[in-house]
Amino acid sequence: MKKYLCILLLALLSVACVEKDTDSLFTRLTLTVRPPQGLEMRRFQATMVFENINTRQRISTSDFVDGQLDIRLMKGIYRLSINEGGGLAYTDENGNYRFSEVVISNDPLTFASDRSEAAVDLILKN
Amino acid sequence: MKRIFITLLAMTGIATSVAAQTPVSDSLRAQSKTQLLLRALDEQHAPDRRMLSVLHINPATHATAYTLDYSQAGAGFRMQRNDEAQRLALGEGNTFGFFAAESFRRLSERSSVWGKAGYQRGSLRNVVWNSSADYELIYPYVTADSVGGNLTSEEYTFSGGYGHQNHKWRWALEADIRASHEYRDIDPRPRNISTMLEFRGGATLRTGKYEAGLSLAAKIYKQRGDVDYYNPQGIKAEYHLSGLGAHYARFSGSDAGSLYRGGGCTLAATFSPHAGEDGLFAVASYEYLSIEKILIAFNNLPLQTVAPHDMQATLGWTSIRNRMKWGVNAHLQYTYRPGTESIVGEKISNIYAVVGELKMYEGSTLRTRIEGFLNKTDDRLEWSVSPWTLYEKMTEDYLYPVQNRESEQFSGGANASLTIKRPKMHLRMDAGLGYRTILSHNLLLPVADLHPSILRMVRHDYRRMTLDALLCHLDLRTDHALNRKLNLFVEVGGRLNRFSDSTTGWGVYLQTGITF
Repeated sequence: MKKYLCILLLALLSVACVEKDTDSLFTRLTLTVRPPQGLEMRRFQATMVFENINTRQRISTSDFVDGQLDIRLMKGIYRLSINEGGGLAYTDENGNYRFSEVVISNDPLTFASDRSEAAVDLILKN
Repeated sequence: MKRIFITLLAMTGIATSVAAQTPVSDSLRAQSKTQLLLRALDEQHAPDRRMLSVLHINPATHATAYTLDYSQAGAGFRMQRNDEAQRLALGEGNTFGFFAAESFRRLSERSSVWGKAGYQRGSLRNVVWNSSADYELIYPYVTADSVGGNLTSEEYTFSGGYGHQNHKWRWALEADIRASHEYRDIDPRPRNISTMLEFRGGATLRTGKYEAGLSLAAKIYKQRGDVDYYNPQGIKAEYHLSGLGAHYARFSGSDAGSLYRGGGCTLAATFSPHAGEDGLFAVASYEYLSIEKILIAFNNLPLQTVAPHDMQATLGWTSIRNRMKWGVNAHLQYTYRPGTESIVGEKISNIYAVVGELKMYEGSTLRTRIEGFLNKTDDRLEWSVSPWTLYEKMTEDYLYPVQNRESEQFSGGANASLTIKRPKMHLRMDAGLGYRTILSHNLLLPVADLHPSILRMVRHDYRRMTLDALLCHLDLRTDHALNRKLNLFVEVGGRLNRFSDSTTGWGVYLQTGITF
């Protein structure tokens, strides 16, 4: 009887002591921004907003390095946008250096696996 | 539903009347029927039988729980009021009128039947942040709004079992059904219809003085609900709560039609002395349940699932020496309650694709109760004292954004009962006094991320659950023999809880009926 009680208590304690696995809630996202065809990106400087369309939570970041962002996000469906004033410095087909504000498509993107990769096309504002 | 209920009730009556015509043992037949009824009542209320009722999780143990036939039918009302709701979602109180009948009959030396039927109708006062029924079962995935109000509620219950034994083996089958209907006649107008169906089967094997048993149960649950507004000017959003202060924001709004459906199973092992004998007893059980919330208005979208695991273990001892009885037991319960939410993709052709699931909510409760009793009985008087202690730790976590609510409490107290026995009358008094103290508590909320009115609800519930409380109750019951086959009983009771913030909660009930 004692043995069974010990086994039961150990089973209960092992369940009670399980660490909360929050890592599985998140995805490690590598996001690349792509300039319009024919343009060479020199610098991308913008604040990108990630809105989780299920929870309505919004996260913004401007930590792009050479047009690439590494970020830890909760898994989900996101609508991406670029805050007003964010832009792209580029050289055009004639080699001229220019700067233009940019926007991106608002089609939602799904990040549901532990590691995600995505690329978004930048659209120059007129 | 009413028709089914009445049919089931009629079947119970037929079963018990057939049983009543079946002869019991000669020694029992020789005794006065009047005395037998009062003795059966004593057996029902005996503290050792009550302590051993934990074994009834296995219906095969239920089949020999009592040695005397006993049936009761009664009607009454009960009322509860709290100065402040303990949980806003459960309301400030309730008033119910009810009818209840129960019966236990031995068909022969080898077989027995038992059953219960009940109906209650009444109102729940000022229920806020809860537009669903069976709150504790589906928690945390409740549909809710900040307006609330009184709810009308009615519930039907029916259960029945049959057990049979041979020399060493005993087996039994049992079924329960519960159906409820809750609604409100002013905006917001929730209407919820729920049913729970449970089947249990079990067997025991006798080895010497003791018997060991196993039982298995299966459960099916369904709740259909909706919230309507008749005044288009006053529509408030319905939230799909996700635990603590979180809610599933995308589907908030007026399309609140939902379906909860699920099921589960229970496995239990029992070890106990053979019926009527004393000694060691033990029960261990594991229950799993999974209930999914589906949004009907969004093309039957499965949104959230709660899947509690419940583990319980009881170890105890009862002793019967002449007219003195005593018993002790320790009960340990651990409930782990995880909840998952669907990752819902874009709507394409009116279809919402579920692209994944996230376990966002975890709740757990650890409960340890130790209790004992000392009972002495003779022909004219019976008394009992039952001290008890309870330790309970509750933890709730919403994993992102991180939220946490914890409380740890210790309670202790004692109940005492006295029964005065006269040839044609029994008077029973029960009284209890206890105190609950909070050992530790914690609340962590990311205030900026939460809806302000939901935040107020979480803080209110937390404040109420972290109050010390003085708990007391008093119950009186008198049974009078009308004739050889019929007793009349009247039962009244009350309880009073006094909290450390000087608020109180109280409840009273009155029931009268017959035993036969």
